[in-house]
Amino acid sequence: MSDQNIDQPITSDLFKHLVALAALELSEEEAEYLRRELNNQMKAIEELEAIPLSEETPITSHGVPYSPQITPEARPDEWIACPNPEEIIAQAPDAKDGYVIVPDIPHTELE
Amino acid sequence: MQIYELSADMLARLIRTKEISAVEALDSVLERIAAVDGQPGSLNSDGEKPDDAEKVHAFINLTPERARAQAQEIDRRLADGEDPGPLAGVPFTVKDIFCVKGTPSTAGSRILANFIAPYTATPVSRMEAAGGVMLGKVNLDEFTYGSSNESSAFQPSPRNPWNLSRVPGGSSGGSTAAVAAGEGMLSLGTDTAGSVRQPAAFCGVVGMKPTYGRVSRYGLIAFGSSLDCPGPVAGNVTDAALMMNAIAGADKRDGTAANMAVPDYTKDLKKSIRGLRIGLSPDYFRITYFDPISGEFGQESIPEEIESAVLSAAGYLAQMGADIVDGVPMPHTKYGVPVYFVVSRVEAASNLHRYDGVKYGYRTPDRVDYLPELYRKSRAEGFGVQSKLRILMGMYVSAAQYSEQYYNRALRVRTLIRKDFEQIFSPEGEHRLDALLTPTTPTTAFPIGEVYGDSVLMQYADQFTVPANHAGIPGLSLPAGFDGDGLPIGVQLLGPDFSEARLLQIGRAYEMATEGEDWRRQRPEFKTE
Repeated sequence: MSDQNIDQPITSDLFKHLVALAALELSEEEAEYLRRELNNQMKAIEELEAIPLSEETPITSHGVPYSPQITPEARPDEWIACPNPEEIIAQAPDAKDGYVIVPDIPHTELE
Repeated sequence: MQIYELSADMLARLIRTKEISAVEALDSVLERIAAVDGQPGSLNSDGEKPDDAEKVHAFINLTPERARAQAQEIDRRLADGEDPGPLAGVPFTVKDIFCVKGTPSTAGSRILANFIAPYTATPVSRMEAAGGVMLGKVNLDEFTYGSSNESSAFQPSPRNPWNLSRVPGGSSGGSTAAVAAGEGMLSLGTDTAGSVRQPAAFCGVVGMKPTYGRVSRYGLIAFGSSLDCPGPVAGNVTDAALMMNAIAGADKRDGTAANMAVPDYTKDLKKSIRGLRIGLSPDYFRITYFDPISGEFGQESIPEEIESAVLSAAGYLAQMGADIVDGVPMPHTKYGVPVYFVVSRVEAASNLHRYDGVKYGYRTPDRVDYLPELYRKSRAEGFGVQSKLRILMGMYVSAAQYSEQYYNRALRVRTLIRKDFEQIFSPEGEHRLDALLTPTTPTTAFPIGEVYGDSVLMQYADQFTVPANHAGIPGLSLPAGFDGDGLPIGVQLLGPDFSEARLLQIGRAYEMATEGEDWRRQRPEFKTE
C-alpha cells in the first residue's frame, strides 16, 4: 500500500485488499469498473483537503442538534419477546430444529 | 374526470361523505395501473416485451387483495358511522425500501428478493391508520443507490411518465412515476441526498424531505443512517401536507425520531405569505463539479430554462407579498457531493455488512465448504455493482489509517454546510430568511442509459438537494412548468429545522399564484391500450 500515487490512490493491490475486507468476489470486468469509479470519486473527495478548517471546527455526525427538549427518552432496557420466532427462522436459507445452518467455520489451533 | 385523477384531499372528502366508496376508488386506480404500468420489475423478467418502452413500470409488487381488504374495511367503518381517518380510502404506494409485514421487501436488490418482512415500518402503519389503502411496492435504485432507478435489480426499471425514454429520477423514481401517472395519489419515499425531491422534480410532482428525525425510520431498510428521511410524494402541496400529518411524529421504536408535537400541516396553507423573507443564492444557480479526466474543478451555469423557472417562481411569491432577498451566499454548497461521497459510503458499507447469506435473504446456491466463502459468494452474487461500489468506498475512507484524512474531515466540512444554513435562517443574522428558493436539480430528466455507469456524474444530479441532508433541514420540491422538450422543471424551498409547515404554506401560495398558468393543466399522455 506504499505505492499510492495522486492519480490512482486506490492501487490494484489496495483494491484487492478492500475486496477481501468487504467479503466480496468480483469478475474482472466488475473489478476494472469499480476501481476506476473509486479513483474518480477520490478525485472529488480530495477536493475536501483544500478547504481551510480551523482547529475548532467540530464534526457533525447528523445535521439537527438534538436538544434535551426534543431528544426522546431512552427506552427502559427490557427484553421483549419476538411474537413469531418461527417466522423469522423460516427466512433463513437453511435451518433445522430452530437453528440456522451454515458451512464449517474455519478455525486454527491456538499456539 | 376519472377517480384516479382526483387529489388525495378531494378523494378522501368524497369517500368520507360516501359519494364514492373506497372500493370504487381502488378499482379506478387498479384499472389505471393495468392500463399504463406494464410488466412489473422482476429479477428474471422474460426479457423486453414489445410494449415495454410504452409503459411506466413503477411497480415491483402490486398487492391488490390486501388493498381490497383495506378498502372494504374503510367502507364498512363508514357504513357503521365510524371515522376511518383523514386519508380514508386514498390509494397509496410504498417505495420498496420500507418493510410491510407479510410482503416481500426487496430494497430493489437480489440479496433481499426473497425477504418477507416480519413487521411493518412506522410511516406505513401510520398511513394505514389514517385510512390510506396500500396498493403495493414500487421500484427504486438498489438500496436507494442512484438518481435514475436504472440500478434496480428488478427490471424493467421505471420510466418517466412525461417522456417514456427518460428516467424518472431516483431513488424514489417508482414513487414519483406512480403519482405522476395516476397510479395512486400518494407515495411514501425516502430522501438521503435528494431521493424524494430530485425524482419529484423530474416527474412534475410534489416531494418533501422532512427534517431529520421528524418522521420515524423504524422499518426503513437503512442506507445512510444520519441522512435518511422518509418523506411524502404527492400530486400537490395540500396532499403532501395531509401525508405529513399522518407520518410525522415521535416513535418509541426510533431513538432518533424527535420528541416534538406534530402541528396540523394543513392549517396554514391558505395563510398569506406577506412579509416572509425568501432568499435566492448565486451558489444554487451554477453547478460545480470535478472533471475526473482533467481532475479540475469546473463550473457551469444551470440551463437558462431552469434558472428562469426559479426566478419566475420568485416573482410570483413576491406578488403574493413575500420579500425576495437576492445574493445570499452559500459558499459550501459545492462541497455537498464530495462530503456525501465519504459520509454516505461509510454509513452504507456499515449497514450492508449484515447481508451475509446466513439469516435471511439470498444465499449462493453453490456448494461451499467454509463460512467465509459463503459470505463472499452470497454477497458477490446478491449485490449489484452500485452496492459494491459503495461498500468498497466506505471501507476505504473509514479505514483506520485514512479516516482522519477523509471521514473526519468530511464530517467537519459537513459542519460548514450546516453553518451556511444556520447563518441565513438566523433571526439575528443578516438575511433572516424564512426559506431559500433554489432549483431542485441542475437538469431536467435525462435519457435512460445516458448517465448510468458514471457514478460521479450521476451523483452531481444531487448537488442542490444533498446539502439539506447534511444539514438535516427540510426541503420541498414543487413543479414549476416545463422545459422546451416538455420535461418538468422543479423548484425547491429549503427552510430551518422543523419548518415544514412554513415551506408547505409558501408552496401552496406558489400553487395559488400559478393556478391560471397553462402548464398547470398539462397531464402526461401515453398509450393506454
